[in-house]
Amino acid sequence: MLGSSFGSASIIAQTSTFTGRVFAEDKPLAGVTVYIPSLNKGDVTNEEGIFVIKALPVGTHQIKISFLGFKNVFDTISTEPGKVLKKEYELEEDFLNLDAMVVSGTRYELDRANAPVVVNVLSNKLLAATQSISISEGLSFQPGVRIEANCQNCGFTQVRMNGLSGNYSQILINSRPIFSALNSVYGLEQIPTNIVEQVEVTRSGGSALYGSNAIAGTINIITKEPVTNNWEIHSNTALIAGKTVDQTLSFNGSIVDESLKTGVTFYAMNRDRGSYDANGDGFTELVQLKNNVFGSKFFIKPSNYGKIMGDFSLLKEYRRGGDQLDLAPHFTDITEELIHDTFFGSLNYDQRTPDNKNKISVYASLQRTLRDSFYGGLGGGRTPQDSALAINAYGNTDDLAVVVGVQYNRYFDSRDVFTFGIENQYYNTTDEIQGYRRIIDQQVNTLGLFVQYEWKPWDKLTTLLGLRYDLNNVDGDYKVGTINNSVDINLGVLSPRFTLLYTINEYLRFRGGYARGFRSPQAFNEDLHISSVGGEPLFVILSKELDKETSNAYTASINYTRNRGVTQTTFLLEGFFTQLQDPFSQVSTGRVLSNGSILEEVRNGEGATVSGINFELGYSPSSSFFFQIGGTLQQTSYDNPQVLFEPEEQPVLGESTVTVKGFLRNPNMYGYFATFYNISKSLQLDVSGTYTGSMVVPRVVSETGFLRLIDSNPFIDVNLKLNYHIDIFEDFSMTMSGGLKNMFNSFQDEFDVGPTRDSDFVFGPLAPRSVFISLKIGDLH
Amino acid sequence: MIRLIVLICILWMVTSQSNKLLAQEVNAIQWISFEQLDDSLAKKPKKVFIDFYTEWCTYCKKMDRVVFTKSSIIEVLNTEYYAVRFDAETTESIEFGGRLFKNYEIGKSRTPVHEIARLLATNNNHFTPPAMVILDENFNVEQRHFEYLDSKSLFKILE
Repeated sequence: MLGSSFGSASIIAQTSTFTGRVFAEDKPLAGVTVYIPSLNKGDVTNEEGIFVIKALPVGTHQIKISFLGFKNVFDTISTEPGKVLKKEYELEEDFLNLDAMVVSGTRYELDRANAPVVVNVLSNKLLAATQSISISEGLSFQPGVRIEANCQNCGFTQVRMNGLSGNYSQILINSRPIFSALNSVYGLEQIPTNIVEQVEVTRSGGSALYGSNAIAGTINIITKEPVTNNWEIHSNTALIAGKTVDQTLSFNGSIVDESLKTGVTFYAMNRDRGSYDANGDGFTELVQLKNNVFGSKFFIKPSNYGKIMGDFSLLKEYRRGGDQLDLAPHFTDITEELIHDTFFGSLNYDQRTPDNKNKISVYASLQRTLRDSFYGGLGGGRTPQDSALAINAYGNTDDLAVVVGVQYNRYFDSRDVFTFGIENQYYNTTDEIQGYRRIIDQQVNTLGLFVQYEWKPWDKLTTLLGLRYDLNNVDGDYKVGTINNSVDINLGVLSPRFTLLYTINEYLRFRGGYARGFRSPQAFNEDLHISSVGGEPLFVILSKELDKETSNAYTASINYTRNRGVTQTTFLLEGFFTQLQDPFSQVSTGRVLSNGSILEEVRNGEGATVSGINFELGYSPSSSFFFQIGGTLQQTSYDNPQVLFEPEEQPVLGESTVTVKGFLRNPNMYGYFATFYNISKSLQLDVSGTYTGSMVVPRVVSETGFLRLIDSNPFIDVNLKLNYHIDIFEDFSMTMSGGLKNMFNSFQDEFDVGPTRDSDFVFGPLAPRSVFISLKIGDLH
Repeated sequence: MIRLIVLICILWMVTSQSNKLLAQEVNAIQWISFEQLDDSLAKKPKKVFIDFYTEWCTYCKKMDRVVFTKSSIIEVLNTEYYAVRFDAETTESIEFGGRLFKNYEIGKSRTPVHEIARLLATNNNHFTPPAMVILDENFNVEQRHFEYLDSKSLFKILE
């Protein structure tokens, strides 16, 4: 008895008591919670509104007073040893109960503004405004990104990011690197926009999550994910230069069950485009295309925290260019004919813990392409030897890409994120044309380990530290005629990446980053494409001594985003500086095989730097008007003049070595703009365009591969589109549109002619002026 | 061929629309407005269910189509609750509880949230549709839900 009262007295001596009364409109309130979160202590008021919290440690405490129907009150109290603190609180009635318990949070938000890396999103809307049928047409509407045509015989296109050619960018499908070297030859033209939800473009190798060859950046094609039950049918007819028809028919449909536990979307597209001959020489400038795509994407949620996603696409494409397209290829002067059968598929499983702090993803993706090719023809000659060569120009390609991986994310309370993953990428390509005794037989396996930590040391600073270790193995045989080179390399490469985001104020954000990259010697897109020059095929072969290429990429940017009322303004200014060491370069050696074929060799070229700025300005005074302009100013330079043509044996008179100081086919200035204007609720006008500055283009002028350098004229490619939308019923709408693409017909005015032309001498906009009309019906919202 | 497709489309549309009309006549939630709620609460207190939606909210649309059409939901809402449906971005002013509520964000935001939605259905100052609020007979908030709910989960909540 004595002991216990003694004991309580001593506690009182070291601690204190906090008591008081809570009332509202002069009446005491019962049932009010008075709570000290840091101590997890509190009391509830009695009928007189009195609360008592005993045994409080001495010091300052935050308290929270809450009662349903009244606004919360926060206060700070200081307690002294052994004393009782008394306070009164008046609660204000909360008419509509602002501070009640919230059951759940937002689930569908994606925050781009706070990402440490600049991610540009090419939306559905922009793809529609530019009337892009395939991805390749829409990608130019991003700063630093340019699509170039590379071949008038086959329509080979590639994407250049920050001036670096296609094989410096990593194209991802649903975040997985299954787009192989072969896919990047024609793939961007094969993927229709109707399967695309959005394309995310990240310039510079800022993230360690995707392979180390993503030096210029990544292009992530995200396919449509089902949300509601809907459907849409779309038809587009275009008339190119008044004579060639380009017809597309596509549909999409989704079914999602009521509980959102399962969902599937289906899509299909058929495209039929005729060939186009710009200069009447009987040889194509735009190839004939027949493309069929169908596919599906689905998800299943076996539990609240697990999700299985799968998708697949089947592409069947026929393309042919050259002359006399109605004859069998080997009876023509030049034909490049390709039949692709491509399968893309992936399976992904995500599991989260109930507290949403841990996430593990297991995934597997597969790509397989079977290609029948014909690269050749009589080449203007009619000798038995020409015929024999032509009939043997048929080839086969078998391409496989398999990517499997596991990724673990940990989300900390401090908002830091830790990522760890293992990924194995396997690519196997066999490309064989017996007539030329040409074989590419290559296996590339990369086992990658990556860790990344998104660290937010304080509110304004976010840093992303990443490290990737790749164990790279290339085993390849490359043969043409009597030449037989092979590569067998095992490389272990460590690639550090670092980016940071500093939030200067509400509107301004600064970002900076560094990434190291490498590429191991292997066949890239250009090596799987055969051009034709002087009526002879031009092969690219890896040289014997080819060594790996490394790079350092630095980037820094300022981003201004401001919403004033309904007016939205964004501005991005980004500087980039990329150093390439021993870059793979194609050099023409003047070497001609016994059958007349021309050979170019891939060697380690001179070191080079690419530097410049990207800018993007967006302005939208209301939701009915939107304007965006972006572009790039850049320069490229080799440390020493880079050799393009170097005759090995006795040179032909007047054909001396050709060198360049900067990159070919790369304008110092290029950009785009896009405007959407809602004239009325149902009528919309879209004007968009791209600008391509002058650039240096090589033109092969001799059968030895000797070339001249030509300065191209600048191009302005402007598109105009008028869109009319009607809601016929609640769930059924119709959109009609029509317009002009490349309305000023800004197109290359001089092409090489005839069977001996240089098929790679193409540049500028992908197509001349065309008129289009399009109709879309369905449950569009 | 094209004619046939068009014909099928039209037939399909007509039938689906008429089915919907029929369904509505037979069995549907008796949605009321805030003004009507004022009168109803005065006459006979009852629990209140408020569905805040916006025109652009896909999940709201999905709930309209597949959740609010389920007979279990219709029954429980019609018998136990006053059910209110409110476009959170409406420009109209609403008189309720002797006070006038307005949309003060018109011209200030792309997605102008009405005062009523701000007061009743914000989650850390954000309004994210679909937002559903359940209030007791005295118009005190009991629960708020800021996500898509399928009919099973909604039924559990409403029961």
